[in-house]
Amino acid sequence: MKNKMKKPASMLLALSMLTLALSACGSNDKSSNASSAPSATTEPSASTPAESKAPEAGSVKLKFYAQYSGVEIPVYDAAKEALKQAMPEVEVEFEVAAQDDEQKIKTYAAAGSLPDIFFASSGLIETLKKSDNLYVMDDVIKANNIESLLNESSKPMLWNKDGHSYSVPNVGQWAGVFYYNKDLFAQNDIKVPTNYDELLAAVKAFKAKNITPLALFGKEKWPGVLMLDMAITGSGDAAALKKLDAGEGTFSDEIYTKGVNKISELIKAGLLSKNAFNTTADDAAAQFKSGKAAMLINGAWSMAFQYENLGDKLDIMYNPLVDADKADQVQWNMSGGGFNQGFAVSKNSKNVEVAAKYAALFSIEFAKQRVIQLADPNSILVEKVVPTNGLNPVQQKYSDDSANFKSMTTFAWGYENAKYKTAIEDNTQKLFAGQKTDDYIKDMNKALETARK
Amino acid sequence: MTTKAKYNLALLVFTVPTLVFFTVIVVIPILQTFQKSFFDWDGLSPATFIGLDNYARLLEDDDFWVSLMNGLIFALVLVVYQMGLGTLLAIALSNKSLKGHKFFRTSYFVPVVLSGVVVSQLWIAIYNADGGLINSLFAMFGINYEQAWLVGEHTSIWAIAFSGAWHNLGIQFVLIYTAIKSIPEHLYEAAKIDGAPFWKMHWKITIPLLSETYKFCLIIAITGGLNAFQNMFVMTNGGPGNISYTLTFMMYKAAFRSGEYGYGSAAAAILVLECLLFTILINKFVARDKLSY
Repeated sequence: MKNKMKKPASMLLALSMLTLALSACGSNDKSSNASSAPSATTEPSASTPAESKAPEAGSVKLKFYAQYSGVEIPVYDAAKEALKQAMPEVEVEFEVAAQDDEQKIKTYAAAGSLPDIFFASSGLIETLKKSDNLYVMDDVIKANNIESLLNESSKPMLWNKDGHSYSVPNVGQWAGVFYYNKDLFAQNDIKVPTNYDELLAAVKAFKAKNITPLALFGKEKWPGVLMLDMAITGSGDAAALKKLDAGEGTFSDEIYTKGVNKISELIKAGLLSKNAFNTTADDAAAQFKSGKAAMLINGAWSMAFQYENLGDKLDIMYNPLVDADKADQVQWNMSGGGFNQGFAVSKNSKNVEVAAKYAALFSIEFAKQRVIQLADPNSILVEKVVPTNGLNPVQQKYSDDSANFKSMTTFAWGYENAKYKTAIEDNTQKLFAGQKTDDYIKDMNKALETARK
Repeated sequence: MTTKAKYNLALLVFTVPTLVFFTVIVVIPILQTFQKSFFDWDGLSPATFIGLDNYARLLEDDDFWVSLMNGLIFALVLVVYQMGLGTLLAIALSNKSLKGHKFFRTSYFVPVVLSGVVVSQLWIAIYNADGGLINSLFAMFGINYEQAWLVGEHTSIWAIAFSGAWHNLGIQFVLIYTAIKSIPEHLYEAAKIDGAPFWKMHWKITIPLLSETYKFCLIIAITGGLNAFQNMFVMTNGGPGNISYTLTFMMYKAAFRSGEYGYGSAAAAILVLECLLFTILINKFVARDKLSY
């Protein structure tokens, strides 16, 4: 038996070794392809339009990974259509971006198959910059005078902290806002809060009347972080949680502790429904629409949708968590926003220069079409663009007020330190679930130490 | 070709494809995971060797201990519910005189064929703190015990584990049921002649003779519990905070949310070792003697 098995066993071993060896070879091949790709793009590509010859329409095919879904589809389509005039040689194919914490796009990057153009958040830009996957767009921006097309408040979004540009912004910096149901406040004789003390009083009053004070879609982690950011901004620190992301300060600093205490106090007063952490954005909007919840926290991009649901009952407040004694000074220090995010280009694209020019021009056209089609009151452009259907009253209010905005922090997805982002999202959710403030501060300080290593 | 050569060829033909497939799909990724666990690596940039630092960090990480404990709780719930209830139901339905036994046999397997996402959504509705089925039942009977089942620090993982146990009860039930069916009828007839009552008969005959089936059930229940991911991903997204994390969720968080593939690999390596340890222990201590009847 022993001898009988010897031969097949040896063959099995040999085959296993071969499998391992082949897989290793495969790996080497892949890396060599990936590393050779960028150098190929340094030479003029056959499909790059030559200056002397008119390019053939649709001769350059680009893959474009973006939020091509829902209300944004007509915006993308219109921008694509408009660009056919400027760059007829380009034919783009959209791929719908997954809502997956950027896993898919990072996997593409790891496999060396990034789409030619893709939407990149600040965090993704930092990751892909470090791994040398991003095309530096400085020259394209200069050649096409992109900066001159952006208004003053949007120009900084074009440049990374290292002085280069890795993406061209396609939308403005939205603030986080509290939406509220005016009728519900009026019917219950509750004052619309203008500062933290009034907010606390309103929360207690709504709770006593069995109305959920705030519809928080806590299944997502960022709305809680936004509210904590507002609490800190409202005490006078315009950079709030963004400052911690940049490596400064700790949660033991008085202003952060104060912000944490405000949230904890509101939670104890009954700010949220018991089911808040299983509530999706749609669930929260439904609660708000039905009058079961008096307020809803979200980004200002949701104004059109909320107005559709509530009509003239809808209004917004920017930060009801400001300290009463500082309200005048800090009321225009906004929470929300982002930094240097927009459409970026893969360094390994076969048509990198065409893709970069297309991404830059597309970003501007996209911003324009958002105003025209979605009545975006938050234009990044110098050019005055008129929405087809005008602005609703809430959008008009935001549009008028946005001139007063002094500063903007960032939404959680704009944090550059991924470890910090994950830690603050998870821990803040625990704080909202009733964690003791001391424990939260201790956990966050520990997380900051890890994130800053 | 000689008989011996034909035998060897057949052996190769039937084993090599599986062996190669298993090596490529399982063995190599596991080895790579162990290798990457010694590196600081974001999944994209070149990795830096850091020795055992990731493992040392794991031991100091609250997420790790919560995840480890939650995995064990999940496994415990699967073992108790699926093997316990699976045994009771299988014994009950093995009695052919029970009316509708064919209907029940099929019914118990129905949840298994449902998608995990569907089952999770169903249980989210049942556990809903505002008017969910469980809280409504408490309210209906005037019991003041309404809970935020999926949010509470001490209820969340138990609630999620129970939904997972309910989902796959059918698999354990079928395994145990078929094992019971293979027990020779004459053993029960002899017990009946000796006047053994129904439950004592099963306690003394069925349960001991199921030991090898239980060994297999125990392995799939425990490793299934330790590897649980889908239920918490859909039902709570690991939260609030980390209270419904398991090691698989921690691995997901580290690798995909924090961009720490090296650290995530260390969590995965611990998970592999944990599953291996339980499998070895079960093989060593459960059903050591081969049964023949």
